[in-house]
Amino acid sequence: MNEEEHFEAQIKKLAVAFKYPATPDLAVRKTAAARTIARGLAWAAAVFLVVAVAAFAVPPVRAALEEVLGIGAVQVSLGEPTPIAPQLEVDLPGETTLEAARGTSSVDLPLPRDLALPDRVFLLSQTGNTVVLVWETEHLALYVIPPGPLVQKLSPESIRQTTVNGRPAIWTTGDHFLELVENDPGQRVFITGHVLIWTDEGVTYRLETELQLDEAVLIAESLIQE
Amino acid sequence: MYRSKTVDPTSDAELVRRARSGEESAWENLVRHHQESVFRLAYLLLGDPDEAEDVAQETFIRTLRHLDRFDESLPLRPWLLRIASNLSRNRRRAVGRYWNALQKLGRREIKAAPDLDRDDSQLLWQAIRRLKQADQQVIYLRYFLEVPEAEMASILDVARGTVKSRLHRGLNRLRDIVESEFPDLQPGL
Repeated sequence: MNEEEHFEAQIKKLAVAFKYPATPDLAVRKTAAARTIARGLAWAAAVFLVVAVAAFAVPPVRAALEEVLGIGAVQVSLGEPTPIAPQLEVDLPGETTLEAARGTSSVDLPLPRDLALPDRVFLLSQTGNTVVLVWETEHLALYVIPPGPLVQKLSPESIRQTTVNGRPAIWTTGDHFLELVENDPGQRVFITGHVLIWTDEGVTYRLETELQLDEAVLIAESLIQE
Repeated sequence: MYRSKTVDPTSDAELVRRARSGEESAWENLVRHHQESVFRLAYLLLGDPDEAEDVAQETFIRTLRHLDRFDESLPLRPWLLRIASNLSRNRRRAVGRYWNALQKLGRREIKAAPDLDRDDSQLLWQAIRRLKQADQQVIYLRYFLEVPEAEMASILDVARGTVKSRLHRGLNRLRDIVESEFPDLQPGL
C-alpha cells in the first residue's frame, strides 16, 4: 500500500466512525416543515436586524458580535446614522497599471476567471498598498488589501453572513460610507453598491458590485492567479 | 414493511408510484428509507443539526412537489442527495444562518457551550471543513456516506472518471491541510 492509499484508507476508517446527531423522523413532521419553508428570507432578514440592534445593547454580546462582524481588515457597524451628505464620484488616488501594481504590491493580484482585464487600476499607497481593480462596464471594483493594521469601516443598511469557498464572508447591502481609518481618519468614500468581503491567507478582499449575492459569490470564487 | 438499510430501486419505484397516486403511507416510507442519508449529508455540509433537519425536511417536500417529474426507473437517492446538497449550499449563504449564529451567541451568555468530543473523526471533519465546498462534497459522499462512485456521478451529474479525479484532488488538498494545520491527526494518517 503506497502513501496515498494508506491516507485514503485512514480517511475511510475515521469517516465511518464519525458520530452524527440522531436522525429526526421527518415523516411525521410535515406541518412543521411546511411552516419552515413558508417563513421567508425577508422575515428572517427583518428579525435579524431587530435582534442585532437589540443584541448590541448588551455589552458582552456586543463584543462578541463585533468580532463576528469584523472580517480581515474590515469592520462593519450596524445602525450608525449617515454622518454627512454623500459625495458622489469620488476619484481614488494612485491610478496605475496592472503590471505596475503587481510589481509593487506585496500580495498576488488574482483576477475573476470570466472577466477581461480591469479597465482601471489604483494603488493606494497611503492605505497599506491596497490595490483597487475596476471594471467600468460591469460596475465592479475589487479591493485587494494586504495583511496589516489597516482598518476600514463600513456602515451599510444590512449585513448578511455568507461564505466564499467555504470560508466565512460578509455581504453588505445599500449605500454606505467606507472609512479608511489607518492613515487618514475621517476620510470617507461613498459606496453606492453592495459589498462582499472575505479573506484568504491573510489578504482581505472587498468586491463592490451592483450584482446580487449569488452572482458576487460566483465571481469571488472564480478568482485565479494569472 | 420494507426496512432494509440498502436502498432498493425497485422498492423505491413501487413506493414512488403509490405516493404519486396519493398514498400517504408510501411517501412516509420513502422518507424513512432515505432520511438518514439526507440528514447526515446536510449535517456534514452545514455543521448544525437544526439547520440540517430543516434542509432535510425541505429536500423531501421539494421532492414530493416534483415527484411527477421523477423517472421511477432510476434510484431515488441520487436525486435526493443532489437536492440536499444544493439546499445546503444555498443555506450557507442565507441570512438564516446568521440568525442562528446570533441565537447561539445569546445562549452562550447563559451557559458555556459544552466541549466538543474531540475524537479523530471530529478532528478530521474540522480539517475537511477547511476545503472548498466541492471538495467537501465528494469526500462526504464517498467516505462518510459510502456512496458508490457510479451513484456519485449521478448526484454530481458528471462522468465517473470525473468523480475519481475530484476525489483524488480533494484527498490531496485534505492531506496538505492535515499536514499544515492538524498535526494531531497526522500520526493516525
